[in-house]
Parts: sequence; structure tokens; C-alpha cells
Amino acid sequence: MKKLTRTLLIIIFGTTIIFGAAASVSAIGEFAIGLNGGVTYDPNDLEDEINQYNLAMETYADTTAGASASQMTIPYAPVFGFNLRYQFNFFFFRLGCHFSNPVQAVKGSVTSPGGITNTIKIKTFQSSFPATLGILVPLNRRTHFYIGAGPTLHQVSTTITQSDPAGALQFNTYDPNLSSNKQDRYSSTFVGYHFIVGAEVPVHEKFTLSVEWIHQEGVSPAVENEGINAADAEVTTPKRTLRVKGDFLMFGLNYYISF
Amino acid sequence: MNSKTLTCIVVLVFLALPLQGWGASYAAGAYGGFAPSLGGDLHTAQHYSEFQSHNGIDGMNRSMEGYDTGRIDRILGVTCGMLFKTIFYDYYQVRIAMNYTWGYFGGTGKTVFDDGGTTRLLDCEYSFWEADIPVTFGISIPFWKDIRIAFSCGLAYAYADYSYRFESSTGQQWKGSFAGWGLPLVIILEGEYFVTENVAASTSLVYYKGSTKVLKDGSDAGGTDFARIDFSGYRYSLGVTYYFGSI
Repeated sequence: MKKLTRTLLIIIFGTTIIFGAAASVSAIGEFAIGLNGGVTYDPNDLEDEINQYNLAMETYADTTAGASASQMTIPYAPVFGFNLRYQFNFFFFRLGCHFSNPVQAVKGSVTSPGGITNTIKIKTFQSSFPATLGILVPLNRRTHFYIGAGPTLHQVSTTITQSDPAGALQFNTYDPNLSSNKQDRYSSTFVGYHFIVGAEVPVHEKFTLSVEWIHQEGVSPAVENEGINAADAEVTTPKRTLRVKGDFLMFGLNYYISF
Repeated sequence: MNSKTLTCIVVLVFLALPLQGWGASYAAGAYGGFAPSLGGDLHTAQHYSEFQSHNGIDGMNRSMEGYDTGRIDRILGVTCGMLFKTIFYDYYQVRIAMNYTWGYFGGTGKTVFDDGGTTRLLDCEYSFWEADIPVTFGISIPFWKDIRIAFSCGLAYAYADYSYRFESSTGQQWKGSFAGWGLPLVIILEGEYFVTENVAASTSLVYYKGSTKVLKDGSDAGGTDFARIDFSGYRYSLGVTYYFGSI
């Protein structure tokens, strides 16, 4: 928590200095605010974990007569956000935030020969606050490519729920890395990093349209489980890390502010 | 390619045609290049259960004194394709392409594995091919009078076929064969240099991210196996684009 507070203070302090300095030279720099929307594949990097559960379910269904399985799909998720940017000659500084949450439930199930079904659901959420320093490659006024990088503050949550973990396949007997709890819930706030590549063109005197790719990386410290086991007792283990490695495709509408 | 996919392509091309009224220009091109680490680590369930590898082809690489082993490299693919794109309102680009990519280098070698307490040599051979249709939307910016740089992103319909064949020094064989489709995310950065008014030399860097569901082994040797096919990775291509009308 101390580390997080320190990071937040550094970001706020740095932003104040940069925007403060920028305001005093606003005659030669420009501010812009932008709304972004897009899509990401596999928010919170759950692909390997989903794949392990799917492998377990398919192997069980294949080796157990009368059993059946329905796989979980790796989700695409919409992303929404906004940003504030200051650009000065060939450089820009940008503060942003974006949120992503799969629209469709990540859901699979495995049914035993006796007809007992264990439905597994994964809910995940991510909010990210990237601070970016970068360069612009201009062609005309407000027509440019840009590339940048910087730290990102992430707030992440993942919940895995099983309807009947003791009834059909017990996942941890197939693979000790998998869970046989009724619910496993992990959440964490931590700092990672990102880079951005994008292009921007004007649509009106003060409006521009942008398309950009954000790649981000980050791993939380090991966090406690806030879960419930198969006997409905609260559990705090196993501890695990949360990952935010991923790619975001974002389209943006930006407005340049005159002072 | 199924009829649904073909219908989607035809609809997209026809949707692009009325853009002529918005000052749209059209271009078609062909290109070829390479795709490192095609199919990723090619992991399957049997890599772990039979050969003690947690990470597919990477974990299969082992050597031991007295055994004549040879490195098994990840597959380097060769790729070729055709594209059709529309640029409208000076900057906006819609691009559709058809690509075929196949393994050219790597994917073969010899390793050792623990066969119930006895170390044995194992001949390994992997093969992989993929066909995909990426549809992307983005921005194409002209620089000076003879260069255009485009950045676009979208999704691809991708179909792949992956198989492996292992044979131990005792003659025992394991085979796996997987085929399936997915919708990976696609990001394209491409540059064009106009050598004439209508013809441009092009280069592109493409990033794919995505995979299939877990697929069941379609072969009949060495027990049933499961795997997902990974489309994630980079591709680099060089090619030629022809613009129908000066741009």
C-alpha cells in the first residue's frame, strides 16, 4: 500500500509539474482531450489458465465413458476510456484511463456420467491508468504518427466460480495448479508499463480521429484468495499473481483545447 | 474456407465499392515474407504427460552425454498473400487480405526423454500451415509525395492445421494432428513507396494475437491428445501494390 501511495504521489507530482510548465508555454504547445473505444483480446492474460481448465475437461470427457464437457472461450472485451494530452513540438505527455470487462460470460461445464454438472465461470475486470511520454512524427497540422511509453497503474480483479466442484471432475486432482474451490477471487492494484503506437488525422478544425495500439505488461505481487471452498468455508489460499499482459486496439476522437 | 466466410468477403468488397463517391481509391497487391515462431510453442497435453515438457517444443530440447541429439527449433514460416484496400476521405483505410503461411525451417530434431525410467532417443518432427483472412480498419497517411504509411487493426478469420510425429529409438510412435479456426486480433503497420504514379513497393509488419479452442487429436497413433493452435506472432512481408487511379 505504501508503494502504491508513493507511486500515485509521484504520478500526481510529475503531472502537476509537466502540466504546470506546459500551461506557462501554452502559446507553443497544445492540450487535447480524447475519448477512446476499442477492443482487447484476453483481458488479464487468462488464456493459459482457461486452456488448462479446458484441457482438463476435454481429457476427462474423453477418458470417462458417458461424461461430457463444454469449453470456455477466451474472451474479447470492449475497452472504453479517455485521456488528457499535452503536446509540445515533437513531444507529448498523456494521462489516460481505460476500462475493460468481457461482455459475454466466460463459461464452461463438465458433466459426469451420473449427470452431475460442474459449471465454471470466470469474471474479470481491469481498469488502467497509463501515463505516457512520447514523440510525434508530424506531416501536417494535427496529422501525425506517434509512439510513446510509460508506467501504468492497474486495478485488476478475477473471480472463478464453480457450481459443484466436488460433484463432477475435481480439477485439482487432474492438475494441482487448478482449483476445486467454489469460488476463487483475487484483486490487486499495482504498477506495470506500456507502449503506444498510433496515428492521428483531422476531421474538423479542432477534432481529430486516432487509431492506436497499446501493448501493456505487468504482474501483481502474490495476492491472497478471497474465496470459498467446496464446503462453503472461507479460504485465503492459494496465493497467486495477476497478469495484465495484453494488447488494446483503440479508436479515439480528440478535441484540441485553445487557451 | 466455408461459404459463410466467402460471403463475408464478397459483402465487404461490395460495401467498399460505393465509397467511390467519397473520393475513395482502390488498390490491390501481392506480397511475400516470413513468420518467425509459427504456431508458438506447439504445446499439447501429451508433451507433458509423455515427454515431461511443460512448454511444448521449447521443453522438448534436451541433451545427454552419449546420445546424438540435435536441436529442435521453433518453426520459421514462409508467408504469401494478396490484399485489396480502399482509401477514402484521404486518410481512412479498409484493408482485406488472404494469406497462406507454412512451416519452412525448423521443427525437426532429436532429443531424449524418460521412458519409464529408461532414457531413450526421440526423433521429432512438427509441421504447420495456416490460411487467414484479416480485415482491418485504420489510418493511411501520405508523407511527402511518394510515401504512404498506414496503421490499421482488426480481426482475422484464421484456419490452421498442426501435426507432429515422434518416434523413439525402440520404434514406438506418437502422432498428433489438429485442425481448427479462430479469430485472432490483427495489427498492421505498413509502408509504401510509390515507384510510379500507380505502383508502390510495400513492406508490412503484422502482429496476430489469438488461438483456437482446445482441439482433439485427429490422428490414430500414440493415444488421444489435446491442443489449441496458437496464431499469435509477427509476420514481415515485402510486396507490390497497384492503385487503380492516381492517389
